[in-house]
Amino acid sequence: MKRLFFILIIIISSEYSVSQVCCGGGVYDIAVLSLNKRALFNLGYKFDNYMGVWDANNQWRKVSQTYYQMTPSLSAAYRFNKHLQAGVLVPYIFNVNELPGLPTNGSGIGDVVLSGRYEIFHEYALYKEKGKIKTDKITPYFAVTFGMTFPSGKSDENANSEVDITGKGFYTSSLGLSFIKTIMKDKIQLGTDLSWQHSFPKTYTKYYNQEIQPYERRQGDRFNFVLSGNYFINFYNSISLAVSGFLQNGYSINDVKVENTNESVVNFTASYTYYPKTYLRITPLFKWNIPSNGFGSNTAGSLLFGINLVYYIENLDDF
Amino acid sequence: MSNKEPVKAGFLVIRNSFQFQIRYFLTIFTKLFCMYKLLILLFFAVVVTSCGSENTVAPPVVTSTYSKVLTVDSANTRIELYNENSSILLVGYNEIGFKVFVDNIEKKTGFFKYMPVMFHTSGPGHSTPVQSDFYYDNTKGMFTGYVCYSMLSDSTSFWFADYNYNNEFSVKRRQFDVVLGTGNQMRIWFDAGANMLYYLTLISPKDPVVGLNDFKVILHKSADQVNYDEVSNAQMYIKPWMPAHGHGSSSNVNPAFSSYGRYEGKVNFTMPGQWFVYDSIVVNNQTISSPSLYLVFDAR
Repeated sequence: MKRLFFILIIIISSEYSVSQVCCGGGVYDIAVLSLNKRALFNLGYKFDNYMGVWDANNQWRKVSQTYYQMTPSLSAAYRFNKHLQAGVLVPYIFNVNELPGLPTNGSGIGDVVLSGRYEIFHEYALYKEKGKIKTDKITPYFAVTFGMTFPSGKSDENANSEVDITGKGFYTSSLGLSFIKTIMKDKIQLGTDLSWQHSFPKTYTKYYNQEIQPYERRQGDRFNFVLSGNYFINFYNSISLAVSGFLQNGYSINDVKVENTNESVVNFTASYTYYPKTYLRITPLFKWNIPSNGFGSNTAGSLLFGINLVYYIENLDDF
Repeated sequence: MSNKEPVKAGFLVIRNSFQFQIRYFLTIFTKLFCMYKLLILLFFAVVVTSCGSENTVAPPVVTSTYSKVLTVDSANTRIELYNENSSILLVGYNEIGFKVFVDNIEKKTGFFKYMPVMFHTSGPGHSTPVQSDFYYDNTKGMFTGYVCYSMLSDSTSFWFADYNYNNEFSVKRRQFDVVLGTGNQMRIWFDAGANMLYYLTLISPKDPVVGLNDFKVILHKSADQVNYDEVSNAQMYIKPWMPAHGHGSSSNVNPAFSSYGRYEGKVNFTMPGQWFVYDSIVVNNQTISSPSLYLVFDAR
């Protein structure tokens, strides 16, 4: 039971960095294993409906046209030992943006994400004290997370139009920390994921397939956060609420930082998880923004519906 | 009063029997049918009367988008200045028109000249790009053309204008005001190599939307700030850029020469918010614009 809780909390609190159609299509969705699982395979789907953008003055600017992104994805994770696991995510992006006189849809493979985590502490670990085996009820789950996003999608450099964009076009690395603490055993857990995301510079020689004077652009570094709470209704059902977001430094062109381009946003996520079997999990979720002034800056706001179907392979080794 | 009799109060009826309800329904239906027949008769009467009338051709409906800005009087002449979609004159591009009256009789032939001049309390005065001759447009009912005001009126800068009809008479040095308007834009720069001032004036979009917009500009040059020539041999290359997000857009069409210094293309604003449109201008194989020449738009 506890391990199932682990699976839930970690996956729900995993980072959802949802791409904009216009700004790249990287999807960052880490699948995580509990101690009693050796591997997992996840079939995911997201429907992200763009409602508008916040400008540099935090003012909400509504989008009136039909504008959304669908992302089916495959992901897998493997546990090497008690401390180390790694995962991979392969998204496929469908973009729809209905504007008169412009291409309205495009699709392609998105940016592939490799991720891992080194788990330093597990909750309820067993230890020996004066010859007796005891359970550690104080130490929280704690892991160092790391990852790399590869520009396997099509970026604005070689896309024909905005709806063809399925990737950001540059490498991104991330390094973070993950905490989980059970407040009430078998009932309530709180989790936090913090990460620092670094983007590597990209040199543009073309823009939308047209030759240009080369220039280098670098996305600003980003701080991501997720705070989540989980309530386990019973063995088969649980619910989760999360607040997440990011703060991102402004971008730079040819090493010159552009002022007033910092980005930030706050998201809310609600999800429900159903465990029909110990090796199967179904998690539908909603993520939303508050489409009002002051809840973001220089970024898009959207309403996201997602669903994940996860199949687990048991870990038969005794770590 | 019997229980089976209806109580009538106008059309209100207290229906207390099924038989009565049927009868009353039929009565109302008959009345409505009669009214319907009357309406049909009335309709045919109107149609027949209309067809037989001598005044069957309705006068053309003039749906002008021009508003009167000012009137200039002199002796027996009267000149009215109109602006399209605005009752004031704005910095930047104005589609204007003139109505000319002599002895209260409107002139509809010939040409009209408009010569605005700005005077400063200190420094030399100057004119501004304006169409050289205005010709009568029957569809608009006035002499039409354009003017691109390069500055606004203030406490140290004053606009005056000379008006000339067909070289037959003139009205000189009449003051007027020009104010800043949202959406109007003009860029002026000096090309030292050619010793020439260039004026790039936005025609559209003045109210840009998310998606493709018609992009129209007009380019002038002047060596003396008195005479202005439309530049008709330029090549333009535009690049929209959203500075807040650091990206551009696809599917833009570089403005191509259309007529009388005008260049027309398409600009794509993919998101709501502020956009810069950089315009690189080449004349006689020389780039005359600076890299920082751009127009600013707020797409909605």
